[in-house]
Amino acid sequence: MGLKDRLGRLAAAAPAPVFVLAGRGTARLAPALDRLALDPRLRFVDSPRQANVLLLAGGAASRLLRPALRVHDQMSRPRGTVWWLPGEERSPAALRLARTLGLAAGDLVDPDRPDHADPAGGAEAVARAIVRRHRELVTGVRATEPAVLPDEEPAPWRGVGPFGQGGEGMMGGVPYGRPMAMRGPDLSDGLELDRLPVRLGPFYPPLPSGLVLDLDLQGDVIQAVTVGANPFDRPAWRGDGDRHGRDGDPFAAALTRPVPLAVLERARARHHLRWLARVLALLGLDALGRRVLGLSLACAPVTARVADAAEGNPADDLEPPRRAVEDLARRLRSRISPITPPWGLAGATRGVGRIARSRLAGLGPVARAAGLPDDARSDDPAYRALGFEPIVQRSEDAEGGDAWTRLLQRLDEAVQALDLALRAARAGDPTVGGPGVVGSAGRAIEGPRGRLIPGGDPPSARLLALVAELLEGLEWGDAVIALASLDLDLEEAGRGPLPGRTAGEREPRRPTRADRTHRSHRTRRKGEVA
Amino acid sequence: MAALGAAFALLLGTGIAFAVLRFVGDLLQPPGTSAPQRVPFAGGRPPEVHAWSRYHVRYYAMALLFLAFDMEMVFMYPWAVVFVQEGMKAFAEMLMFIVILVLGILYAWREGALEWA
Amino acid sequence: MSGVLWPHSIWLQAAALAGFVLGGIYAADLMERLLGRYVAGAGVRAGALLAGPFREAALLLSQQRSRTERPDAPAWALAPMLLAGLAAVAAGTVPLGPSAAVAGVDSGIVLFGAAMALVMVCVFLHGWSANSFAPLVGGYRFVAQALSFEMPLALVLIAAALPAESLSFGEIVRSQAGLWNVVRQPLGLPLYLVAALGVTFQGPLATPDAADLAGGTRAEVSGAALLAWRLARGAVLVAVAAVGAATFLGGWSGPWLPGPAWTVLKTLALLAVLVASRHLVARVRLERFVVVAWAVLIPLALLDVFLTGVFLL
Repeated sequence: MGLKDRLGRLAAAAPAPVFVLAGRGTARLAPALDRLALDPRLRFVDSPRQANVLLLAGGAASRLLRPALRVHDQMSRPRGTVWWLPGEERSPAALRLARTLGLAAGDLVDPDRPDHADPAGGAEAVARAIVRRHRELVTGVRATEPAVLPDEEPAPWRGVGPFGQGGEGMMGGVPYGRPMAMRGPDLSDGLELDRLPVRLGPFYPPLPSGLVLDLDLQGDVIQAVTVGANPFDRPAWRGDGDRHGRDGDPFAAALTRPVPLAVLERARARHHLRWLARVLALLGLDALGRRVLGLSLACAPVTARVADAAEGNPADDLEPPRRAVEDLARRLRSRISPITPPWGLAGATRGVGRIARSRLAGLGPVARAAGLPDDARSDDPAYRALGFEPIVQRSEDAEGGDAWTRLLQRLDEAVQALDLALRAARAGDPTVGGPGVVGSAGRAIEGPRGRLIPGGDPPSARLLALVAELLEGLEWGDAVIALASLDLDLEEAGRGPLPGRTAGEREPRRPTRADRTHRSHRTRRKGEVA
Repeated sequence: MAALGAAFALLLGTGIAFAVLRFVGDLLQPPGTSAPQRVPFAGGRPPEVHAWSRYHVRYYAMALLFLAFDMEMVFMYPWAVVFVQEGMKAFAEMLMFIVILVLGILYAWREGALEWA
Repeated sequence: MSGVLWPHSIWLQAAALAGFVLGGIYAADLMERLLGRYVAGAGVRAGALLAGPFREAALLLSQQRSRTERPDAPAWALAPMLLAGLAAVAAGTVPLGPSAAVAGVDSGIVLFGAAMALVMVCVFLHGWSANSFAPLVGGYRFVAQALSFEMPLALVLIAAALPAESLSFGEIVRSQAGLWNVVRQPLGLPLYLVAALGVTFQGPLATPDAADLAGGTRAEVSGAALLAWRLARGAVLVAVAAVGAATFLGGWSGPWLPGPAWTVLKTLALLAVLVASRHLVARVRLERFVVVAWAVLIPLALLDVFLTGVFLL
């Protein structure tokens, strides 16, 4: 049909709708992923139904395989996949999966190939692959990928039971393949209606990537939370602490070798701005979030490899983003800002996600937002020489920080980090960390999420332990904001203990299963932890 | 009456137009789906139960308050039309009515019917 | 003037109304994109911007309509159709020029209020029919929001009806011949805009389709069904803006230009305010905002009514 061709050509010119699945190793791909998010040829959507192209970013962890296949099959036709697979992740299993999905050679993009060593970090190659796949699908040049999983009902129901749809009695059996929710106790007003068990998987966009939650809801209030096993947990890597550094985390790398202070602070600013962009998108301000994402890219060098970044960065490019971030912080902070938008941020986040201060030791911005002056940089002579003072939010009550103070805290820290980086560049580029320095005299590295102690748990693992108690009794919207305010990274939590040894040369403590899954059914008032 | 008929015709006509749009979409891309495609999206895991359940609607008290105000609206529509010619008497009567209902809002607010989680 | 521009035949009138609404949807989409690009600090390419809505519509038409395991298929199909129908009815009550309303009933405000009340049913059905967690929560959230914002919406319209001594939009426009209602009743337009944001789930009150629900009621929707939903939503927005222009900004009255041109301009102005709120105001916590709606907006709207009454006596 001529109409179909014309429509196909129009549709091919539209931004390609992409749904992103973050696999293993996205820490290195993060800057390039941000560039893709800002690319006008692409549009990241929040549901696979509306996507034409599925972008698999990173390697395939074994516990992410089946969820990824399920999401792939949930996409509506026409569907295609592009896999951004680093060379070291190209195991035979991954290549077999690529063949199952029907990927052609052009759909597997390697960010480590020599000609992708440009500053964009392979983002351009992936963007082109996605746009090409989108155009092929929409104009019909290439057929849609078929579903991978077998076409089976979840449970046999046709013709089963007295009504022919699998149900028994009033609400029993498996009508149309799934059982129905039953009544259960209610936390808030005691009216017992149906308790809906919801299984949210590793790729649910409002939740941090990789977080697996089993929730029991009454209405939209969470009654019980079980945090599932971390899909990025790889037992074979335990004890290989340098994994952190190889994955592009300059803070963990500073535990084993000296890293310039400017590099650390730029990475910190970038990290906090990236977090802010995500939170703004969750609150509906996605245009402002894109602006902040652009600012975050301007803060740090795009090459995510720590080795390259350690060779020094010119600080002249820092002044414009520093001013922009300071201006942004001022605008977001003023509660009564009749002239300058955005409005309503404080109202949307104040009072959400309170955690008792006693649980927050060593947890970085979350602790400092609650009023604890806990910052490992105060003990470091290099920072003291630059005049560093830890920023702490004044907490009006004894409860501890909420999502709003954490937002302010991270903003202030981003401004401070850029300031420190500028001062460091002018003061002869001091270095921080190294194997001898860290660990002795109790010094540690302050990462963007918390204190990094050699041989200890990464701060994300400690934050993950707080999730179950935090979410219980919260309404859904509040729960999403509270989770986002914690800034979880499940990949960091799954990498295991940090490199280096403490002064006493103890065996690093391996986190046990009990630390990660926490079932909580106790009746408790909303939003309070401990 | 002709105007009301025109309104109804607009309703029907637009509904039919959108049904045609849906039909055209089905012609361009047939809606046949497989079982794994129909699983509701929850991040990659299949749901445990159907989402249809006796949902705990916590704002039921506020809905009752809305009913009371809705009945007040029914009275205010004709009141607005005859207000100018009826004058002070109409004003005073409606004021009394509204004050009673505003007391209802105050009561509901203090009792926490407006906050529901 | 109106005799020259407003056709007699009902079919041509309906076509003119359809053109008005579709043009408004296109303009609203353009304005939202433009402001979004400005706030994001990204560049704007004119060709891509102007062709953008058509390209996205073509993309949606070429996509498959999703299904879930046990949806309520008739209700799911009906929701966008009914929403668009209600928008058409609401837009039909607005006079685009003197005696130029397609469905200009004598109780236009009542018909508009009834149409906006049924919007709640449409959005709830859209969320409930999919039989999936996120759309369900989105639908139930919207019911709370719609219940709270119906009252301010109806009350400010009644306040505008008081000086006109009639519930018809034509009479309300005529009663503004001396002074526009936005000046006579200063509380009216701000309250109307906030209530409009609430009833049409736009901007800071876009709770049923929110990002924290992975798309909410449209999480399981794709293809032509998604296009229908977005068009219907845009149509409701245009209808609400047109009613606001007629009630508070004097409708078709204005110098030099013909009546319908003024209506279009004023509608575009209100549309700009409504879609701009999306990029400038964060999405509210609904639980808190319900309290604000009942404790602040309704008393203010009642104050608006009684102040207008006092000044008329």
